[in-house]
Amino acid sequence: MRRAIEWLCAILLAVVFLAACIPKIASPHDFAVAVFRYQILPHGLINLAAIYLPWLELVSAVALLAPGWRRGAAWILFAMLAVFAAAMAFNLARGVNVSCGCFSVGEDAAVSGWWNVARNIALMAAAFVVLRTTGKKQADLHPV
Amino acid sequence: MRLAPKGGARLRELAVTTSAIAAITLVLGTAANVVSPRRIAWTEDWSHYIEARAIREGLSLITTAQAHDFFVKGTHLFLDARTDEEYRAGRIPGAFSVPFTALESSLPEVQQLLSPSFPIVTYCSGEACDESFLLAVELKRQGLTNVVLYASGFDKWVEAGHPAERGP
Repeated sequence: MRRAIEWLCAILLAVVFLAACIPKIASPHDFAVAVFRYQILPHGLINLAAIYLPWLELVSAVALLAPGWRRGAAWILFAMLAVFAAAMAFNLARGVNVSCGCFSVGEDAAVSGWWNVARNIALMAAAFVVLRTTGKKQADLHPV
Repeated sequence: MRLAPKGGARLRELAVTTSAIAAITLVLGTAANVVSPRRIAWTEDWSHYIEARAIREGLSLITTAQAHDFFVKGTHLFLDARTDEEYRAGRIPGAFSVPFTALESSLPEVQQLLSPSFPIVTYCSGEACDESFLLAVELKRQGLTNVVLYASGFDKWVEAGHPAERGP
């Protein structure tokens, strides 16, 4: 049962992040604009974030499906989701209305709201489940 | 014999996998941005980007969807900051021509029609032009308080399939 839940959460996260990374990799300039609109990163880091972040999502999503890599990938995705949620909450709190830039990088992508923050927190919960269940399984390999 | 969970080994394994993921990301991201026809500069001075300048000036920006919404509802006056030739070749229907290059002659005419709080949208061709931004700044300087900038401009308007009109 635990193994099924672990796989279910891993597949869910992998699908979400694969769907998220494709438009960003396809249109790096549009994603850079989306990152710029958050008005959080220093200008010198905007393009670097736009270049590497989608690939980090892609590699982590794929790694999540390989049991030996799962814990590392889950930690990275958990951290990314926390950073994204914090960035969105920060902008919502200060009244900066920008699109999420999560699954679409077009200028007319829907403006992010607290729903997006809640969605990220739900995905963080899924990543946490993966971390917990993967950890348990590994502990079982070293009986106490 | 009872074996405790090998916390140190697990931490090392975690460090190895996260480092490996980071390394693969670095290689793929770098390679993609070298070979891709859509590659972007590694770093860019975004302070010249029209939206950055607008934010510094405290201007509100609208998207194509918002611009279309204002157009459909008829709530805003659209001011076209491009040259007269560009305006005649194609514009957002109902827009007034206020070419920034001839502001002194064109602006007073429009100003007579407006109250200071009248909602205004300024636009030019797109993000590569700055006439709409400069016009918006000038309008604000002259006391108009409800000016928003449609930075994506007429190119994106047409691209989105929204109506355009041409002629004088």
